[in-house]
Amino acid sequence: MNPMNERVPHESGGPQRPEPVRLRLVGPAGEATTGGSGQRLRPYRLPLLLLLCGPAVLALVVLDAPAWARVAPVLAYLMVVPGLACVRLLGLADGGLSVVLGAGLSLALGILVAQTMIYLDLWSPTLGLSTLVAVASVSGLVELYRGPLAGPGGEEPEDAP
Amino acid sequence: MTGRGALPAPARPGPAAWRRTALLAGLVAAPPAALVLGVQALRATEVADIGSMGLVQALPAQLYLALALLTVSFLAAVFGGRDTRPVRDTRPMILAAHVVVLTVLLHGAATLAEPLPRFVPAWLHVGFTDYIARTGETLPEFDARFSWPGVFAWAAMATRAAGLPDAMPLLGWTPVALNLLYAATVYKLAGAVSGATGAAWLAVWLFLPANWVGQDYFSPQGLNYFFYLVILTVLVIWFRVPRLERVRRRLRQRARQGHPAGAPAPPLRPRRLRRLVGLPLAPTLHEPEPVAASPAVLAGLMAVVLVLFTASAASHQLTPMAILVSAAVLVAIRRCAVRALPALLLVILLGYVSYLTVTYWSGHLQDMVGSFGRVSHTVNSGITERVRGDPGHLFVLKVRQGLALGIWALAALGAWRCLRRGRGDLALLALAGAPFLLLFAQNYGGEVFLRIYTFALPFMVVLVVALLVPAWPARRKVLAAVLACLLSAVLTGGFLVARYGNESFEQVRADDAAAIEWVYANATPGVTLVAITSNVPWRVRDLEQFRYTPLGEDLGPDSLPAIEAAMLSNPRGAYLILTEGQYVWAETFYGKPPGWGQSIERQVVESGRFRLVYSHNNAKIFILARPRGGSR
Repeated sequence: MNPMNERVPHESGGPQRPEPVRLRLVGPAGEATTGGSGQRLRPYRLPLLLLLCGPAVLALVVLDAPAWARVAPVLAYLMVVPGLACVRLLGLADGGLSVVLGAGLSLALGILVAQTMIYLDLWSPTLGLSTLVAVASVSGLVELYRGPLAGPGGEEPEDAP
Repeated sequence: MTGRGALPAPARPGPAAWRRTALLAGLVAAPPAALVLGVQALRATEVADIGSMGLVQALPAQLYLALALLTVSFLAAVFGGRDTRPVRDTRPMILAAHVVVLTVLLHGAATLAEPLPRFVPAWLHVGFTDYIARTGETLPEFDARFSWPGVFAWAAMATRAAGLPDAMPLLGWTPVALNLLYAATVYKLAGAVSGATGAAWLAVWLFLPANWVGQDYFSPQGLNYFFYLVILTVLVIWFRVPRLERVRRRLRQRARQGHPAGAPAPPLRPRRLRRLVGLPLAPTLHEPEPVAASPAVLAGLMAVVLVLFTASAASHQLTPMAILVSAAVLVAIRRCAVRALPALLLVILLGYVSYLTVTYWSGHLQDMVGSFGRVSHTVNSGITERVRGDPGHLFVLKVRQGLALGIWALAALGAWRCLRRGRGDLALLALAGAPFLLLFAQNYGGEVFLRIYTFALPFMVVLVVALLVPAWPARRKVLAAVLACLLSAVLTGGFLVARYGNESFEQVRADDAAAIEWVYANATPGVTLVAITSNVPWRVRDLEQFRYTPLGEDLGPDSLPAIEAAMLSNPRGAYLILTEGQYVWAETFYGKPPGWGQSIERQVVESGRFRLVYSHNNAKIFILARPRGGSR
């Protein structure tokens, strides 16, 4: 007898067909996803984007792209990405709050990196940017590899922003 | 085909549906319409019309129309009728668009109206940034701000990495960018303490015009205010002490004091006072609880707080003290679960000050701690000594005082209304009051009241919103909307006077900037640049290569012998710079008589002891007719 075909009694007493086995993925932000590959990859999009935009911005600086082409991406990167990549590791339920905390942390990390370069007599804007790209990349890789630190960081009230 | 099988004809939309569609269309169209109207009005502003009351004298009426349209539309979206699905789904985007447009029209008004970025100190900060970008060093002996160089170092790194020659392109839009960051944080903070999106949006709407102090320019304090808001938002949302824990602690404390477990609790508050102000037995019964989070997440959030505080300690003198005081107050009233936090913050602050600002405090210890505990001195320097200038400037000062006192009074009423309903939030009240403790610590060059107002503002506006609508959804929507509209109008009008009231001397005139540009292009390094007031857009680059008189924010030599002495003090030579911005500043801010600057200029010309080397409209540059040394 094949045990897989054995009917098991349901709690209600009647015979019940076994549940079909469905693949369940846990995304980096803790979201459970089922379904097609597009949907399954959805939680990975943002960490991948955060991971890839660092080298792209760094390439603009190293290749000395004209100012008009790099002002917006470099400033936006420095103001948002390093901190957001770190904050996403916390898996906060509120995306908007993550962005706010990420912006604050990005600016704070930038200040500490820039000031450390001054005190260590290592002043180089490219080195500073590279350090922040490294921080963001490590955080992005950690998120892709193991997901958030400990699940959602909080529930929102029904009517709260 | 006819008969039973036919599909029923679609129902024709009724008047209510048409009204909802029209409302949605109006809400969507209002922000871009107000933006276009407002920007056109600001672009059409005649800068020459700016008088001693500031930019408000030159603004066209279309700007007020744009602001009125925006306000009515915003309040319709917040208090509007029944939510249909399209309105509900698009409401956050619509409201966010309103907030962005309001920020641009209020905080970007001078940038849109004036030909150059405003405010001489912001230009000086460009000079600091330029020095770090060129040399990778700081100059702590040149200016105290170089002992806290974090923001300048970040800007130097960012501008060079972005391929910009200096930070000047960032100046104009920094206030808008910073206020958008503040608004996002206030929105989250207000939402967390009130639990309602309507209250959060309204708090943001009132915060933007109430934030008239103008510390959001390209400066360390502008960015540090964002750190302040983020840190306190994190503490308020995640690190409150749960009610159950507070009760347990209280019981343990009572047990230690010898009260038996079953004995009735002694009255914790003076009953008579409570009855007198009409408060219930438990005015904080419905205080918000902390958002649940795992220990790992809390540890991560605390790490974020500490990184932000360290960056703040490394980049500004006053903000870390404000954060420290607020955290200490939260711990003292048992609204912060991390009881060691103030000690930790103090260690970071003292560590930074002790090791990395030695150059500053070794010569200025009296400046740093001299006003500690001297409240009356601080009040005098913050209020009495600042009330000076011509009648227009005095009017602006009165408007500022009125706005500050009005916000504080409304917030007090809002706090009372919350407490009456048992919805008082002790953390919020404490954070609104904590900045006043800075009075005991520093007078901050007479600016401490402005800073106290700024630090308390986010919490004050939440309390003001609670006065308008104590519980959401609002029961009397029309009344609340009308009151909110009136308050918004008063704050917006007041903002344009209070924020841009000094625009007669805080604008940077194109002629003044061109004169300074000529000096930097033609002067030999090492010469002294002399002016009769410090309101000159100089030190914007190569700041270590020239000497400056006056160096601080002050009046300079204002008589012929004093000017000559200042110019002769440098054997390498000197340039005397006379510009309209200096004259207006002395007359408006220091109350010098009208024509004071022109009179000095006339004396210089008629004395024959100076030679004119540059003249363009109202900006002139002189050298000594018979100099001892090298100026050309």
